[in-house]
Amino acid sequence: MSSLNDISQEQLEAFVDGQLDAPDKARVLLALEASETLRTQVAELRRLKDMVRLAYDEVPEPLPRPIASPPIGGYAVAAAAGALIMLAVTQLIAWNWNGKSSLGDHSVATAATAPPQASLAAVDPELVMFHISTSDDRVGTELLDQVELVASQYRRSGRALRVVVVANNEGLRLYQVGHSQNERRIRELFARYDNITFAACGNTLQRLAGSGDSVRLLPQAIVVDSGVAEIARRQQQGWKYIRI
Amino acid sequence: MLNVLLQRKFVRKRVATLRERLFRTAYAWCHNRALADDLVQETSLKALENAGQLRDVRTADAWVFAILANCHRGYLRRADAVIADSDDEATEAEAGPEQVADQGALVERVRAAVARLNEEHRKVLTLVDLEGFSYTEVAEILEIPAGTVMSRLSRARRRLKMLLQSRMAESQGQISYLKGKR
Repeated sequence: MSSLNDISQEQLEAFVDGQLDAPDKARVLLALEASETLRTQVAELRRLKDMVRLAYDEVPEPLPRPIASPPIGGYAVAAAAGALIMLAVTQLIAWNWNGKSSLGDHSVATAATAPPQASLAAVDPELVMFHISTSDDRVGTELLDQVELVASQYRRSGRALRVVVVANNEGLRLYQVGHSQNERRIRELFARYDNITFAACGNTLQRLAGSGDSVRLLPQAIVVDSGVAEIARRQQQGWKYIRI
Repeated sequence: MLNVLLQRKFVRKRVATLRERLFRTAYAWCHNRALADDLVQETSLKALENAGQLRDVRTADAWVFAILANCHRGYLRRADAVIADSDDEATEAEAGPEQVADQGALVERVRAAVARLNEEHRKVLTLVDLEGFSYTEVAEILEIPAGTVMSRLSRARRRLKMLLQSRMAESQGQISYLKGKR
């Protein structure tokens, strides 16, 4: 009976959580036998524990995707970067061959005036990442203005640069075919600069698709696994982060 | 080298098995499906990357959850700077009107209360109550002394009880009101 007072709240909880060794457990059991109050407390703790379990018994399904696979985005980005380098090399060869870009886009006129090495500069390019998560067209325009400003400044000064625009949540609309006022602008920027990547959050895409809103993206956009994870990864790799 | 490869294979399997539990825990921490999913994904990647660091396969689960806790800490650190858009789904956990049956109401009430616990309390509580980790394992996962696990857990439960009681009256009114409507 005297052991009753020795049972601390923490011991009682450890008892409920199955964390006591045999002697301590026996002590609590004995105390429980003797005390109505303790029994109520234990019942209360068990109830609370059950409630917590019940509350998360059915959480929303995680989004379906391959389990523990390497980041789709990682490969996609790598592939895209590879493609861009190839493109740059082709461009360079074209420049050397006939003094102008092989790309037929009208905007390339600007590019042709820049030293071709700019897009190939070998050492440590500046890494800049923009993030958009709103569908507001004005914000989208502002973002593209900034991207273009940075890209053109670097090109002019012949410094190496890589830009990635990460769009998630409603920001994805920026890349949606037939949705964004900036559609043409993205096509142009993509054609003019080989160092800009447009990345769309695959999570958001799936989520939208899940709610019956299947978004068709501009072919200029690549899909990464998760926008937030992409941002975190790149930040770790030293990308400068600019949220619009 | 071979060892690392085997370990990677083991970790890959283990993470796949744990995925649902990781997601549940991550969800209980942040109450946001997209973020929880990101955290689980990040955890899987980091676990694979660092598979070589797993010293004892018997502690693999706690090791993976420790990575989850780290990812979440990282997220919180970055949160101010990076993510303001998680608000978009902040209300996701709240029930739609058709869901507010007895169980639904209870679930929402408990989740709301858990969401109001402070970060440290919430983590200890969910790791113990949802995932059934031992105090020692939780101490390892969260990198805190076992004594701290116990005191936090105790405080978390006291606070949770209080939060639930204070909401008890209003939601009970709500339930009986709904029952009356049927």
